[in-house]
Parts: sequence; C-alpha cells; structure tokens
Amino acid sequence: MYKISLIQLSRALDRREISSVELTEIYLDRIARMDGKYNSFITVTAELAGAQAREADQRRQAGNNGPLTGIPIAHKDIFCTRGVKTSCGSRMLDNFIAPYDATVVEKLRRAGMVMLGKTNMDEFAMGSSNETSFYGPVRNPWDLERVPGGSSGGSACAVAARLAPAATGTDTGGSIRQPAALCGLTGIKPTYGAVSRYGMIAYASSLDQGGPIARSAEDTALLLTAMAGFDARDSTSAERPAEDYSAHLDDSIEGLRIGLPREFFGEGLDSQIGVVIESAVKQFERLGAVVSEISLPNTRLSIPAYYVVAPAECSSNLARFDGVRYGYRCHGAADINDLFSRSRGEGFGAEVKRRIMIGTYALSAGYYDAYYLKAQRIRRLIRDDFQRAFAEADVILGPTSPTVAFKLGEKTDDPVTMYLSDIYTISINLAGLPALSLPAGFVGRLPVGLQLIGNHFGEARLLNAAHRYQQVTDWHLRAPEGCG
Amino acid sequence: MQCNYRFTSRQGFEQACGCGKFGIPDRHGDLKMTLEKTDVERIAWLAQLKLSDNDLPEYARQLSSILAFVEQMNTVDTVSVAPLAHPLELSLRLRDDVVTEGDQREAFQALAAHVEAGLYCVPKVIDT
Repeated sequence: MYKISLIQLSRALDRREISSVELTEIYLDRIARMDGKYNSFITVTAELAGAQAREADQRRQAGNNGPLTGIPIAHKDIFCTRGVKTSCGSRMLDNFIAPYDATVVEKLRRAGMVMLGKTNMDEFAMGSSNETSFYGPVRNPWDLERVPGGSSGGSACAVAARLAPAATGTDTGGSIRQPAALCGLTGIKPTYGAVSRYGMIAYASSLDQGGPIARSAEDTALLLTAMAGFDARDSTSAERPAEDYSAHLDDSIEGLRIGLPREFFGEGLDSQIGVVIESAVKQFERLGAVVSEISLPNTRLSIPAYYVVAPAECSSNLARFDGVRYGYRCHGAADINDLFSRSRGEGFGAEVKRRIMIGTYALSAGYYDAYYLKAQRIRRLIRDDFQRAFAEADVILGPTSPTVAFKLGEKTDDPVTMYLSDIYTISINLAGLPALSLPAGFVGRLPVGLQLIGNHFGEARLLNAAHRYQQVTDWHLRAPEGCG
Repeated sequence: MQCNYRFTSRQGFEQACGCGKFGIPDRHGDLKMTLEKTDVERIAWLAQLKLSDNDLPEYARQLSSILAFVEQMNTVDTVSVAPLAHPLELSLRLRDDVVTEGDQREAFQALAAHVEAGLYCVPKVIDT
C-alpha cells in the first residue's frame, strides 16, 4: 500500500479496500523499522496516529469525509502541534510542548488527516542540507552518504523513503523546493500569504511560507487545497476566496508561454542537470507549450539581499527566546543578562547564531541603511525583474538546484558555499511568488528537480503544467532502492 | 572628500553621516567588511548571545566572509529605488481592539522553567 500515491490511497479508502487504521499501521511500522538509517523523524506520534485513524474510519463509515480523511501525513517540526513536542530542530525548543495547533495542522486535521509525527529539519529552518539540526543530519534515501536538502529535509526524506505519503514543509529561501528536488519529489512554495503562518515558528516573516511535499502534482494540489486559505490569525494572510487547486490539473497547456531565464542556465549549473532540464523543456514543447528565453538580470543579487533581509528578520523573531517563558533555560544564572545570553548561547546552534549576529549587525545603528534598506531596494529590483518577465511568459522554468544531492559534510565548513545552493530558489521568496519543484530525471542515480515559477496566486497553473508533464513522464514514480 | 551618505535613524529622522570619508551615493564610506574578534563580541552582546572565547576567531572569519559576500549588493545603484518590505506591498490588516482569546495563563506558564504565584521568575534585577 505504501507504494501507491496519495490519490490512490484516497480511492482505496473510498472503496473500503483498506481502513485508515491499517494504513496508519503500515506507515508506523515502516518508520519503526527503517527510520533508524534516515533520521527523518524527531518525534513519532504512534498513539495519537492510532486514535486519529480510528476517528477517520468512523467518519468514513458515517459518510462524513473528504478525500484526505484517513490518510497519514508527517508535519515538519516547525509547525506547532498541541500537546506534542515542537522543537524546530533546536535544543532551544527541545522541551517545548506546543499549547496550540498551527492553522495548517488544524486544517489538515479537520480534513481528517492522520499525523504520523514531526519531521527533522535544519535548526529554525536555517540551512540547505538538514545538517544544522540539533537532532543530527538526515540521510538521502537515494544515497545514504548524501544530504536530503533542507531545511525541510526530514519531510522530503520521509516521503521519498515511503515512510509517509506526504508531508508539510516550509520555504523561506528554497526549503520546500530544494529538498523536494534532491529527493525526487513534488513540492510547492505557495504565494506569500496563501497559506497561514499562524503557529509556524517564524524565521523570516516576510519570506516564510508553508506548503506540501508529495510524490506528484496531483497529490500536491489536493493537499494545498486543504492547507491554503484566509486566516484572520495571520496578519499577512491573503484575503481571497478559497481555491480548488485540483480543478484545472487536466487542462491543456497548448499555447502556454514558458520563459527560460538565461541567468538560470549559466555558470554554476552542473552541465548534466542542464541536459536534464533541456530534455524536460522539449517535453513541454511536445505538450504544446511555447518556449522563449527571458532575463532576470538581478538574480545574482538575490542571495546577497536574502542574507541581509532574512537574518535581520530572524534576529528580531528569535529575540523572543530568552529562557524565561518557554524553551531552554541555562543552569545557575548569575544575573538576568547571564540568564538571557547563556540560555541563548547554549540553546542555539552555530548557524542560527551566525544569522542572528549578521541580522543584529545589519540592523545596528549606522548600518541599517547600508544593509537592510539596501537589501530591500534590491528586493524591489528582483520583484520588478519577475513582473517584466511575466509580461512575456505565463510560467518561468529552470532548474531547482544547481547540483544534485551533495555529500554530508561537503559544505558545512563554509557558510557562503552552502548559501549558494539556493541560487535558483531564493529570488522567488524575495518576490513572494509561487514556485514548485518536480522530478525531471536523474544524474547517475540522483534525482534532478525542475522548477516552475508562476505569478502571484498562479499556483493552479503551475500544478496544471506539472501534472500534464507527469502524465507523459514517469520520473515522479521512481523510488529509491528498497523503498519502491 | 565628504561622505555624502545620509542615514535614516530608527526613529525615522534623516541625518548626515559625518564620517568625513568618501562614500558612493547610497553607501556609507566607513562600512566595516572585516570583523575583528572585538566586533563579534560587541555584536554578540547586542544579540544577547554568550559565545565562548575560543569560538570568536572562527565567528569573526565566517561573519566577515558573509559580509564580503553581501557586499555585492553595492555593485548596483539603487538611489532611486524604493525599499520593498512586503512582497505584495500589502499593509498589515488591523483588527478591533477586543479580547478574542480566553485566559490560558496556566497552560502557558506550565512551559516555563520557573514560575511562582503566576509570575515568571528570573534572577534578581534590582538590589534592595
């Protein structure tokens, strides 16, 4: 059963071929047997999952169910889950039992989904390899010596290894798309404001967005429909009517204008990935898409601008962790400053400290204009680049990541080298756009991700294009050895 | 040469830089791209992060390399570009100033390391 997609599971539940309790057992059993080698879960909520599955079966018996009722899911440990440890991958929150549910968790719960547990992640979502987690690195199911990507590395690993049919993730600079790419999955970062940030532990609030990671565009669309929507509890939630992202999956993409940004195919891109993407472009042409070259001239400035904006916002957001109200508190504090600075110094890992310090510096007196305002000005240039491009193209296509999954430890010594792995994803967050990654082939035995970028609130079109591509290709059906 | 850079203070006042050094139009002439150990100590103090002395040189090296990288921003002139804070340029929604959540003090304080009589306890701040 674990081999089939989420949509197929939904149909199997509909036809009473399996119960949610049985299905949940299958996944819990796989996690218990296999996750020792992946480390994709921080917490497994077996008992709770059993209870939720029984409830889902009752709902289905009563005919009071939706398509997701009874399907298991794993949540990234950045989402608050009432009564369940919510660590955000940090020692700081190792003892934190969330007193409420994030909106995303609540919505998926209301849809009847069964929570299997909480997935591993880079500490406070700061990382591109899942190596900054307090709970240790996650291994890529396609090659255990390699990273799954990050920061939603545990979520991507769990779905790729068939330990869960789907998982939630969050994306501040590529944290859904890059791990989806490196693990051979489909994942979408929605438009800023489309998915509620309530109960999603904040990293950089003007960039953070939650979204699903699954095996196909079809599965992703169904999950996004349940996750997205206006939420009064998030002051940046977009006030627009609910949308059914599955409604246009089968539409023709005849005449769809696809733009290829020349800046995404230059220096820095692994040439073998370039070959994979080119062949995917040909596939889209065969489906009727019209392809042209476009330009996003300020792409090279996106990582520098991001590493001012995101750390600045993080230094402010993470100021709340003070050892007083919740989270880690140091022992034997001599005075109040010692309590604050030692709780933070001992509770946060090195990458989180680096970003807090960069942000603190960028916002400090005399430097604010030169760093923070400068970065915000560049942010506008980047957004304007996209708006010009969308006059010529409906969808922008390129690679998700410049390389396939890299080796554990390969980039941990040099923060800047690690930052460069997000070169194709970061500008999208700065511009607040939706983008998805889908599998488009392999280099050796490692999956390659293709990115589709849309204009604001253009998720349905991206999912439509991805679904049509997946109707004529089978990359998304491939599973790592021993998992299919 | 005179630095023609102007700050906007956190309070929103514009002020001349006054460093006496030359700066490109929208950049201060005296920006530090390489941080010393003492700079890291000061930033860590501002950020309330206790760092071990042994780690300071490595942080100084890493933060300097990040700042040098970020410096690429100054290869473009942005004098006439307005800062963008919200990607969709929407303003934050306000709500009526009424209580919407019930009292959950006990549930929330159960998470704290040290609470007495409904109060969060910290080391003594004021000497008597």
